[in-house]
Amino acid sequence: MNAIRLNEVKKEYVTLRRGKVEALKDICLEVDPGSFFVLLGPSGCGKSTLLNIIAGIENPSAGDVVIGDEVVASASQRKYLTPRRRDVAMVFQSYALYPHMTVYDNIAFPLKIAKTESGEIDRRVRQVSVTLEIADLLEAKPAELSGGQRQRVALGRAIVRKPRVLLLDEPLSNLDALLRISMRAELKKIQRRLGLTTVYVTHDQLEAMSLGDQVAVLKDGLVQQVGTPHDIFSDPANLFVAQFIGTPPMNVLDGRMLEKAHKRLRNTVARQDEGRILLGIRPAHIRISADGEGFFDGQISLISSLGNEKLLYIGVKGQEILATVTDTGDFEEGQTVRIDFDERDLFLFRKKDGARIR
Amino acid sequence: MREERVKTILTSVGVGFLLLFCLLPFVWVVVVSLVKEPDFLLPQTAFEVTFDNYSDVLTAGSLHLLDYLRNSLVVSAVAALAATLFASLAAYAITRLTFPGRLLIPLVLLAFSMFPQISIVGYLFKMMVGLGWINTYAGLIFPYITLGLPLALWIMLSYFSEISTELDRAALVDGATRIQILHKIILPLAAPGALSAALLVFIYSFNEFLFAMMLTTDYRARTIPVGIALFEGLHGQVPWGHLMAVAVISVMPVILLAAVFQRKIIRGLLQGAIKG
Repeated sequence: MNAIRLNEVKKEYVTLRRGKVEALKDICLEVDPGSFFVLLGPSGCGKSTLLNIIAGIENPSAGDVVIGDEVVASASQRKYLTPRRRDVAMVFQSYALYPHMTVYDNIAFPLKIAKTESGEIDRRVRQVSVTLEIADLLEAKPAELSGGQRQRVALGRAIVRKPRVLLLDEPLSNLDALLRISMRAELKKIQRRLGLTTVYVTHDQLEAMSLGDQVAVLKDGLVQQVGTPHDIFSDPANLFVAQFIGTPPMNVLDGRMLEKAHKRLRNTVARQDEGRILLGIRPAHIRISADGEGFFDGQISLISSLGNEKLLYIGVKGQEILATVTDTGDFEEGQTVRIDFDERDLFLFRKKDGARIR
Repeated sequence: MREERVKTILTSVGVGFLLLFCLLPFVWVVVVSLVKEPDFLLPQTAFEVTFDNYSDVLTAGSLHLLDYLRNSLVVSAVAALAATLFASLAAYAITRLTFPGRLLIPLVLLAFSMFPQISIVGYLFKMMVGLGWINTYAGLIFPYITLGLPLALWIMLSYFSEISTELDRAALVDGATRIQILHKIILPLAAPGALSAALLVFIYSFNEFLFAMMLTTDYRARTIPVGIALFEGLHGQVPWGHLMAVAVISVMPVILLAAVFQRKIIRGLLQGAIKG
């Protein structure tokens, strides 16, 4: 049994200016019970719409949404359960705390709406506030809290009624960098401890990689790839995923940049028509040397430090290649270097549509 | 430095003149209501302060002053509450839900509110006769709700549209119904707007004359503005002292309300002005 199943979900909007817009095209996804599932994609890819459809704030134009073993939305049956009947909880990017209520009342709100008995409400609000370390803030109003504290309250309001599914819409993006990293770890710990099936929307691939048990990469309303963070990093399905995942981003070179006849590429590139392919190589996989073996020469245009390693911008035949190296040796800006990599680290894509060639 | 002083003087004189201009009639009303002889400026008349005018009008049952006052308060309060309630429901739907003609409603309502009252009073009279509502509270309350609704709606719209719809979505996911969201989240947050809408409709209804004149016949529904206009006095001749005493009594509720809530009324109006 899956905790959530999306079956050919589509969403269309009709807008005055642009006519019909397809926000989601044929989304099929399965989320395992208790797993941390991340929807990753650039802004406008439809990931928040998808989350709203799971929550019941928006209805799909076509397809079914199944939570547990219950169909909660089905366009063909014209059945759309209201959010209150789906037993899902959601944390919003803006936190959406009720400004006129205290922290206590904010967290208690879903329980009061569900007409939970008041002793039980009190017990659970206090328990959640201890878990989230906000027990001393219960009487404060949201305006008096810091960003991180508001984040915790929003999370508390979501988990207090033990929902079947926890939905998070870019919950960390309003926090500053340090806090974001510590909240990320904490979120994951809490999710593990409670065993909550979680769907997390983000545009930040680092966040997706560090949090997700499974990551679905979305673009233009289509799922590009679903897999573990390791899968989508080391085995991207297409050019978009390859470029979207990883910092600094993957280098993409025209197929014509490599000599077809090169003996080390005989098994990979040589079989393709080099004019129709693109080559992908991650910056970390590039080796540079002053005059060793390599595929081509380039000139270092900039060396920037990332702290423990260096990022090199190397100009090669009018293109720029990024390389991360731990030790720059005595390389300097302006120097000509030899660029090499392992042919096993090379990814090949069709130029026409970006599909991976294996 | 000298320029500053000239500016200060000019401002003070201007403000003083305006204050005098606006308040002098009212001051005159108060003064006349408190003297024995309204002709006290004539040389042979003495200026004698007395509260007799007030005690006369308040104790004379045949004047029905207290009835008029009660009618006014009841009619205005009910109209204000009802208009605010309907306006908040409408404003919630217009700012939160998508349906065809959503943006047309406030505009149409605004257009209706620009009709001169006199243009509908004839038909309204016929209608009220048909309903048997002449000289009843309902006969005044319903027209007042209609008159007050555009104003109340526009004030509520400007408040509601400033509240993030993410709160609605959060509350929906928390299990609340739309009515619960309006009641527990949106209205408490828009309370200043609701208050100023209610007060303005109240004041408008309290001062309204034309409909009240046409649709009431006696003390059972007649409101205080009509009561003053038709004031006949106790003894025949125009009883200036009594008339002014009634006028002073009748403005008291509105002055009290305005004094207590003035900040909020101004905020509500300003917000409407900027956003609307």
